[in-house]
Amino acid sequence: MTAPTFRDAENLSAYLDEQLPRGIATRLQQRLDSDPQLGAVYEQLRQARHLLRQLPARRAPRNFTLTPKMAGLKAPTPRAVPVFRFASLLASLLLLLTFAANNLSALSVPSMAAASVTAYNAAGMEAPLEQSQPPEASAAPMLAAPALPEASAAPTTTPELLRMDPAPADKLAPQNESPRFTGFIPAWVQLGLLAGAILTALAGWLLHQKASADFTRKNPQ
Amino acid sequence: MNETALIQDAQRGDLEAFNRLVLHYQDAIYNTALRILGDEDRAADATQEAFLSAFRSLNSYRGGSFKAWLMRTVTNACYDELRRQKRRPTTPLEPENDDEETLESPRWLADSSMGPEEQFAAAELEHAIQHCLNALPADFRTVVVLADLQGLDYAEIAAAVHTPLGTIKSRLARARLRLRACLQDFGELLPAPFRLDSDTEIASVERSRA
Repeated sequence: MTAPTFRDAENLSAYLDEQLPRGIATRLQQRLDSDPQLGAVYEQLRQARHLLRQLPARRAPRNFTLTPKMAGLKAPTPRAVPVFRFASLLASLLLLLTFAANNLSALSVPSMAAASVTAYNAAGMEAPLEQSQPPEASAAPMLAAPALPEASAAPTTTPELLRMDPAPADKLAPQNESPRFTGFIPAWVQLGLLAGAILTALAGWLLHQKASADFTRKNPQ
Repeated sequence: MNETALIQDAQRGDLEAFNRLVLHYQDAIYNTALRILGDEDRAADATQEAFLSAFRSLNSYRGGSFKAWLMRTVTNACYDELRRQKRRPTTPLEPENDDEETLESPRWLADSSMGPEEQFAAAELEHAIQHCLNALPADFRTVVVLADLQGLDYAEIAAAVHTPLGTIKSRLARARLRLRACLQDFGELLPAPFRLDSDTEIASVERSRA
């Protein structure tokens, strides 16, 4: 019979908790039956455990339940909300594009018009010049009709030139008056896009608000 | 209460299901924190922190004893609190009166279901045990609280405190022997039913460890 060691105390403590393997527990039980010192240590461990188990359990001083805010939870976003948001964004972008397209085309139209008018004027200015020629050409035969065959050919073209319309007066002086341009994209399309952008954004916001309200009702703070 | 179903719902983000689990376990978690920390306010803080941490890491729970898993979170919260406590001034466990004297029979232990004598005995016993628990190193204290107050088995304690099974067995035996010795010192101050016999074995057993 030897004095109990700390290893014995470890085994006795585990034996007390029924955490020892069966073989070791049996051998320890046999030693306990024959060794009063070991029995005394066992009794001390048992008393300590018994006292600890007498410790009154306290009730929690308050409830420790979590609120959605504490848990970092947010109201779930309805599936339609991102669709509405995307539609609103798309409509807004298209609206901006229509404005940009109209403005760009409005800027480019005067120069195009000027170019076409210049070209047309060039043609139009020739006509008066040619128109002014017939009197001279018609005078030529009187002066030297047989001697100038080129001049005699001139009167043959004169009626065609005369029939040619002069350039319109309003196109003769485009520099002084810019044309009125209303744009390629009609206003009703722009209005439709604007309404679409606003309505889809509003629908998304309303759906989100409703989901938040439902979530708050279900999970009061 | 269908615990498994509640855990699964909570893992899917159902806070109501998780809160039902909180209500079921909050007393056990609070008592564990109270015995490890020895202070009511800090225990309440650690309990709240433990449940918050448990909700956030609920998906890491892979079955087994949910109570043991919760004990792991509260143990971690308590260790964090103890680390903070080292960096801050501490307040005494025992409530004091206006003259800064420790009250003999604290009002905060009063239980209306007990008679005055029983209340006094319970308060004295609690005071003695908590005093002796506080005298233990935190690692020993945690093991003895989980084993003897919460009834966890060694494997559950080992998982809760991330410590090998052999170390748990050793810490528990040493903690019990030290507690027994400490409570022995209270002698006549302990309520009569809980007074311990005198002995000389503990010191020799503790010496054999050294």
